[in-house]
Amino acid sequence: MTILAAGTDVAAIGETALTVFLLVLVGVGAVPVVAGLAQFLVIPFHAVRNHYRETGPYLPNVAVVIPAWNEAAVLTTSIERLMGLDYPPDRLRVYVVDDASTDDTPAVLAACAARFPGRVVHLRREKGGEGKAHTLNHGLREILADDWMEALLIMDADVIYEPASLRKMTRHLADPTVGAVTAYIREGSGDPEGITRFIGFDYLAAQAASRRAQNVAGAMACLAGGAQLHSRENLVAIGGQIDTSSLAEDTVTTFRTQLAGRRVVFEPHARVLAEEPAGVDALWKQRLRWARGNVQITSMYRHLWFRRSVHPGLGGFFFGVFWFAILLLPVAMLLTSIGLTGLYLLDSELASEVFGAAVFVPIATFVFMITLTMSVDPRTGFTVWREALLFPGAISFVVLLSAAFPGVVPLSGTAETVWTLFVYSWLVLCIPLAYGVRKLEGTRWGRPLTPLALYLVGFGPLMCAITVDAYVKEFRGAAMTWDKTEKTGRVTA
Amino acid sequence: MSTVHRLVGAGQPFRVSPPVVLTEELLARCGGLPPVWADPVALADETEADRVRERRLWVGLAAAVAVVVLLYLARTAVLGA
Repeated sequence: MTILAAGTDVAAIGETALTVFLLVLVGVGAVPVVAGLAQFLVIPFHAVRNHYRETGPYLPNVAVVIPAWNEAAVLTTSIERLMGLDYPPDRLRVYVVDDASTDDTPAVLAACAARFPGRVVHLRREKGGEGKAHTLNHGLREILADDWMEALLIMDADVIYEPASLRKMTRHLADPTVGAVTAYIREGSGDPEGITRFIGFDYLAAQAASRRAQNVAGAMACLAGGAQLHSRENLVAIGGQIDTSSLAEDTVTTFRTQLAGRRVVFEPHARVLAEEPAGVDALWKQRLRWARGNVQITSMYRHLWFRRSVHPGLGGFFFGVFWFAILLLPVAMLLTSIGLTGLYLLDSELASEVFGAAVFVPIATFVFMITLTMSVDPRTGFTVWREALLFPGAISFVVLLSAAFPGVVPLSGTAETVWTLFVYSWLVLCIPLAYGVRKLEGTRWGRPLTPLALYLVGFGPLMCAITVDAYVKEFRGAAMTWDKTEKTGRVTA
Repeated sequence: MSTVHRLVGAGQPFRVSPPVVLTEELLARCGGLPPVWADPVALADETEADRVRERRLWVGLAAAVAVVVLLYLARTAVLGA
């Protein structure tokens, strides 16, 4: 009898311990939601905590460097736009570093150099294909060898700058504590549809909104690859070269600038349009490069995280949580799903209570984030509001709606059990399904079905699936290949 | 901020660029109107306009809070019914 009672006690303690453990999993899974909310709550403070009062009418000699590999389709437009910038013409030179292109790039550049004598310079690498950083370094060596350049703008061949954007960036360099400035890059397709609309919203959230928060926090995660302006002093201080050891050379440059004691500023009113991938596979390759780069940087700067003694901004708590919340989002989703499913199997009423009590927080956070994001650039926001709502996917949207308004569709018995388990496990199921969307694109029916599948599964889960792929590829030590995004000249201003 | 983290350039004078010389040819290329970059006061006005424009973020915050409150009220009403 005593042994039986002791056994019952042990079982009860074990069940309690397991319940607590599962609740902790659900709690850990909520960290990215809280981190996202904290970041977006900071954004409005950019109204008072910005760099405008420390700017000046500074118009330095700017060398624009454009790495180009087979960019004949877009170069003429980009160069014409640069030549038309509202900036003193004698203070602007364009250096195109041709990475041994095999298309008409040399001929296009020769024509541009003839049209704008002394203002367009063609630098050619005879051996190409080593990646963007190597191409940029070729140009940097040439440009730094001449004293003329006072500021250097690194951009991509396909991006188009709005006329006032460059001088809106250079004004921040009047402050000698600023080492680099980045602009607001927008998805620039003239007729955005499907995936480019999702990218439009993604850029709105990740650049126009999130980078304002980083301005306020005093630590910038990444200078946009297509729009980064450096002072000459900063370039020299970080070694005069771009990092070639990782896939995220822009982020390394950003970190080096700040670790060298200079500020990095985001200028939201300097607007730049860029062409983005129009297919899931092309997007996957581009974002996989970025995600793998972030995984590499997490390891490269492991001495930095949560250590204000190393750097007050980058080593701060806010920046650390923000960085890892994105990097570990798939892990958080997995933990939440395991926690909720485990609780349901252990004690379905408790699981229901936990889910019911906590679910309004992510829903409110999601609604708050998309409303605030759309408000920072209403023109773009009104174009992509559907993609904002369907960012987690139409299935997730229905799951969220049903969670926000439980009982609206009455379910009971087996149907209720199946639906509840589906809701709890969807957080993880959506990730392999996002991988399936990529695979679907390559099939016979891919063209008509992929956009539909993307709207159902969602852009957010697609990004999570890419992050998981980045973990796997880094763990396996897969080769670092530079998969260039094909540019067709779809950008219209 | 400690001495280790003192920003490089702090205490140094602001960077200035030489005044822009607006030639007849340049003026003609700009359609006869002096461009913004040729006038430091116009540049300062442009910056001030951008600074003031950032105050719209408070409107965005108010809108976002209002939407969340409306959602909460709708949820309460539906669940209470």
